[in-house]
Amino acid sequence: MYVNMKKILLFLFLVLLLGRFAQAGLVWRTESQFIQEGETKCIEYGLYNPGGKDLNIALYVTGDLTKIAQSEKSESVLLKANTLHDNAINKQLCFRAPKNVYQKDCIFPTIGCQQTCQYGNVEYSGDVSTIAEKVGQGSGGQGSSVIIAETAPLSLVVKCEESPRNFSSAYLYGIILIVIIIVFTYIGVKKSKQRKK
Amino acid sequence: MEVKREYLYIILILFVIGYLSTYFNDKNDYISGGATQVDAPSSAQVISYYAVEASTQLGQKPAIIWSNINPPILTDLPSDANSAGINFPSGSPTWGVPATAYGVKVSTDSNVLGVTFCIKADGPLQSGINSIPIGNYKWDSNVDPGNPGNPGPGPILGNAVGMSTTFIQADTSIGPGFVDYFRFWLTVPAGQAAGTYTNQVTFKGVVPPNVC
Repeated sequence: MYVNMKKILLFLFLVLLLGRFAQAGLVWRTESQFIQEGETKCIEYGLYNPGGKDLNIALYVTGDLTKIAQSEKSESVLLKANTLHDNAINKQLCFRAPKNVYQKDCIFPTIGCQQTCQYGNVEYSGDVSTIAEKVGQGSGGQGSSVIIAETAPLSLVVKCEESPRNFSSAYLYGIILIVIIIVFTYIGVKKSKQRKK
Repeated sequence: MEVKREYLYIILILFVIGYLSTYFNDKNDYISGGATQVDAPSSAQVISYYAVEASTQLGQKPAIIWSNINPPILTDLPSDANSAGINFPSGSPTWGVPATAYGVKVSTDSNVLGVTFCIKADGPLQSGINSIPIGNYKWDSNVDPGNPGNPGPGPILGNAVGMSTTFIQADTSIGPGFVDYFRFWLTVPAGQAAGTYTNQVTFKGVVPPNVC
């Protein structure tokens, strides 16, 4: 009888340990996007909490995405317990692509430039993770504290657009140069005529 | 009067430059007149979502505990909540013999086919300047078999591997409503300095085809 009681108590104890789960959920609507050089793009993620306890959750960026993320961590948001994915709270993460990802091939600076895209598109990829701000209860003690993270993949591709060699700036510079020469020549001739008079 | 005329020439020349510069700019091709084509953009949005729920024991701080360490004879000491050898009636919790209190569950409010769990530690168990090597910290995982009548042994020491500071794959294809169970073991070297040793373990869920 005593042994059975002990077993029942142990059973109840472990059922309690295993039966009560609490963590967050992540909703995502995209796994890859194009981004232009110098463009800022914000991507929205949904956060929800199907568990039985309120949680403070933030979004984190990992991998190459950290190089272009405006912030590696979003502001944390309080998620009420028992919220499902269709009541998810949206949070944005913003990324800014560098201005000169692709170097143009120019004969002279800004003259006769072309974009070949021979090395393909530059891609920034990584994960977007949710992490509870305060995981765990109690204080100190020997052993390991635990973080639970849900992740969604994300790739941002900086689109390289090919362009043929462009001499329009050379024509423009040439015309400006000719005009300046004409103007100075005209002024010079005029002044010399005045001196002769 | 002569000087004013020179300025007028310069202004005229600048107008010519302005006009010519617009000529060299790229021109967009466009269709005008009676267009016979109408573009109708279409879109379809696919949404993915999942939640991971940790067992209550994993929500404690610390979560993975060895409370009675008395060196020097300690090899593969099971963590307190590994609870090896405890018998349960079949059915609940899912593991029959033995049980473990460490579990991560894919919430039923998920639409992904399966989740892969990954595990890592931030470093060795540390107490001031003393540490227990990370390789001495072993773990194994096993998936909820969904078969209470024959639950199997669960995570076992024979399959355990050393913890790492980079993510190692635990189990894959864990569907909504299912649990990945874990157990942990620790070997404390002889002569280990007294202290309270701590570190941080991270469980990460990823959705295939992505990996840890």
